[in-house]
Amino acid sequence: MRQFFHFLLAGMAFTAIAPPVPAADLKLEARLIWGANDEKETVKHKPADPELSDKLHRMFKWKNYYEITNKTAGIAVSQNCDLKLSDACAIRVKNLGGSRVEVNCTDHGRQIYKGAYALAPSQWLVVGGNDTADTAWFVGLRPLDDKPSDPKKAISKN
Amino acid sequence: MNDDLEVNLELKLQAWLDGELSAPYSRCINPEIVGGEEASRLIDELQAIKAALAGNETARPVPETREFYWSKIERQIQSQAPGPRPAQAPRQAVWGRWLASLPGFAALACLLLLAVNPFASPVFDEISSAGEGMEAVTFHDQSAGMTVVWLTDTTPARPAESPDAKAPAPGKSEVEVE
Amino acid sequence: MPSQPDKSALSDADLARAAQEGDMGAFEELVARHRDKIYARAYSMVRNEEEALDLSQEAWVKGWQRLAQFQGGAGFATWMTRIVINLCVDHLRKQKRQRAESVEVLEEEAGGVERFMPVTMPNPAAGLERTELRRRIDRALDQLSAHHRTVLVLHEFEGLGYKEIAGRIGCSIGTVMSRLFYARRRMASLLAGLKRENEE
Repeated sequence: MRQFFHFLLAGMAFTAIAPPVPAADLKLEARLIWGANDEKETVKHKPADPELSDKLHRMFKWKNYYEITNKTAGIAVSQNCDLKLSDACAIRVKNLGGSRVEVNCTDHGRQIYKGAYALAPSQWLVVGGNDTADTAWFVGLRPLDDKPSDPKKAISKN
Repeated sequence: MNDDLEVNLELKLQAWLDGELSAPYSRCINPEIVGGEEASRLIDELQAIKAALAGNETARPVPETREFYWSKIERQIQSQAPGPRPAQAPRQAVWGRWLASLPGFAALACLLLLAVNPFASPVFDEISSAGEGMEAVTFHDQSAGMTVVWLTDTTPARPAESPDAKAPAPGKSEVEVE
Repeated sequence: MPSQPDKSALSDADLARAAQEGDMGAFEELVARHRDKIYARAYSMVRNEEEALDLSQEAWVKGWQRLAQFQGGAGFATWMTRIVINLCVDHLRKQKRQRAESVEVLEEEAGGVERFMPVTMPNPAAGLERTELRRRIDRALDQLSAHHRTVLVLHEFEGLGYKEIAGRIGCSIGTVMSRLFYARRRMASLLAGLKRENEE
């Protein structure tokens, strides 16, 4: 009993002096979506995720939403991650810690937007704008649950 | 020749050139007398580099807008000091401009006003800025679990291209990249 | 209509005084006026845009906290520059501790071959148009180690003397002299190399 008590005390002391667990990487997914009224049969891109499409439908006027790119990334705190979503579209995401990110969008290398947000679990941050011929582009970011990411897609760089 | 003496002489020549030697000492250092031709060439090189660098530092502006750059500083100051946070700039003016200038989005705006309270204080502290020639409006749809930032290109548009089912580019494709 | 003067018309000294009284708007005007200079100084030392942004913003926050210490003698921009320099020096020191030294870095720290090379091109900047010269200097600065670049930037661009540089970076005057000497010779070598590259 005494031994157990000593063990318990030692354990508590260790817990008290143990260094805090470092903040985990932020895992997120980024999707480039195209909104258009073109019929699905004429478009070579696959339809966007139904859940995201549904949300976009509720907000925007376009009939169909297509997924152009889908990438995932794990970003350490204070690190940046560059994601090229198309020939023209790239984003840089910086993990500010505490689920906050800074998002920098560029079009052909020209910065068009920069913002800092807290990403709530399972909630989308969408940046969008008009594109030619009455279509629209959307970049969606969402934090992922803590599960192993696809090593082929995972990017974590400064 | 003693390497240590050579090294010391080079540094003394440099110090003489930089005006760092005290007056009595500097009078002892004359490159034409001390060190010979090689020392003179060294002095010439050091002088040339000094002259090349003087006033030729590349100007480098901050790669962020005034507001965005300041907003991060302001937040850090306020997070470290007691006192009330300054009032947030109201979004009403931005909304008003957006609604007035884009009649095509009037129906969308009505839908948003029904689904979203645009004047509700944000759930989280956010800061953003649009690039040059762009305007950004942010709105939160709590029920859909989505935050949307809509960018409008305010530069004059060129005639639209014909429809094409290709990968889109952010912003107006016809806007020239600088 | 508010009767306060347009802040952009006020001098730095007046804005600093107002900021010392707690006027955040006055401080914001000072930030707007001098942000490029402070950022550029940070960038010249750390050569990384993100780090320079973070360090320059940290400098402004420190400037706000230490406003009471600003006496107005040296000029507000100079005072802020000193703050950002100190932050950059600390930052580089921390980076050096974290980074394993490669053989090349250690060799450069010791002085490198340029220190002992005879002078081959006394004026590597001769004949260069100013924009081109600035571009080459910028490229060459990227290739110096942090130690040598720091001393060069503080001496050549900030006009600090050996003793003040030694005090700021925490080393002896002799170390400042040898680092500066190496940095200059390396710059000469790099500029000469860039000039030869261009002529080929």
